[in-house]
Amino acid sequence: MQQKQKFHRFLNEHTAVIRKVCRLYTDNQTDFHDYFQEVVLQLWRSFGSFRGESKASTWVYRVALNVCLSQLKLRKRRVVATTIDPEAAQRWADEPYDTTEEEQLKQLYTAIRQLKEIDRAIILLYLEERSYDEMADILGISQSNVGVRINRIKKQLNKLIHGRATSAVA
Amino acid sequence: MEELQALWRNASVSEERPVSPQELDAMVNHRSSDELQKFRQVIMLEYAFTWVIIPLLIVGAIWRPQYLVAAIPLVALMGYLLYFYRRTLKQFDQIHVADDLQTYLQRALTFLKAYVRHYKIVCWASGAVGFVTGYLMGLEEEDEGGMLIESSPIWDLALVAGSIMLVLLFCHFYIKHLYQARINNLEKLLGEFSEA
Repeated sequence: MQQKQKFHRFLNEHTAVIRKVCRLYTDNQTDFHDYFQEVVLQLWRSFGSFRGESKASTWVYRVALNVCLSQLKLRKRRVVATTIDPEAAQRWADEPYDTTEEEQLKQLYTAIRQLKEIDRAIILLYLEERSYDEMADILGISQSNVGVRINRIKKQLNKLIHGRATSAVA
Repeated sequence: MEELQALWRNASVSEERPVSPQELDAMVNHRSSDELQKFRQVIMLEYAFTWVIIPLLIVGAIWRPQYLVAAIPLVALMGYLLYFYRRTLKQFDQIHVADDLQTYLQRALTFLKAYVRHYKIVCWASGAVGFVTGYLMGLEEEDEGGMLIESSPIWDLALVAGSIMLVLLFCHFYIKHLYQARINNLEKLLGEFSEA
């Protein structure tokens, strides 16, 4: 019982991260709920073996991303994410830039969902302002590889959202 | 990109809705929908099924000694399967969801590939055992004058081979249906890691 209470507190410290990871790999409420539930279940099952060798956030990202990537694979895929859809990119580029934050966020999610699955994980960690070291630890790739990939994905994302040249990317 | 990071940061506030104790209870008591967990359940089921089959084979062989020639290799095969399932379950438990993404996906892929390869070998071995024992039993029955089909041994061979091929085809598509899509997708995901 005490373990569950401890987990409950832990979970509520990280719900935002879990929700955002699940949102990136789903495009409807039902799938989102399923993914969220499965991530929580797997976190709970692994919670006893978490010894704090890595940061709690690193652990949560790993479990959430691994579960979402596993879940994604054999479902009937509503989110097609192999290549950037040029038509969609053009459509967003032509749309007037919406200033409401909610709308911008929606556009951001839609753009990220157009990226490949691993690229989505990388950009998520970048937007979460994780260090390259932590990103490498979560993904299992080198820091230099993280850097190269982030630059490429930023260009893709910028193109998707603003439809403008990559020079504007910070 | 800084504005996107700021936007993302602000979004965190709306995503921070706490999970209630009731919601948590419901979620942790819910049956896992993870595909890998489902594979584990399939393996567990087959493992349990094998435990049931072995005594049935032994009892059958004692009850009908004329089938002993078929029962011995089948029991040996089932014994091997028990070992195989046990080893597989142990390997499965080495796949930790808290590993880094590349390790997790790689381990899952390696496990599934080895499992499917082994599964196919076991299927073909079962087929070969079935074929040989079926044929031997046919010959025995022929000697005793108890043939079900009064024809040449070629018909026996065709009957046994046909039945075995049907079983093998079923196994082939069953394995493909269960695991191939997963393997392809894991390979695709891991391929993304090697892209620059």
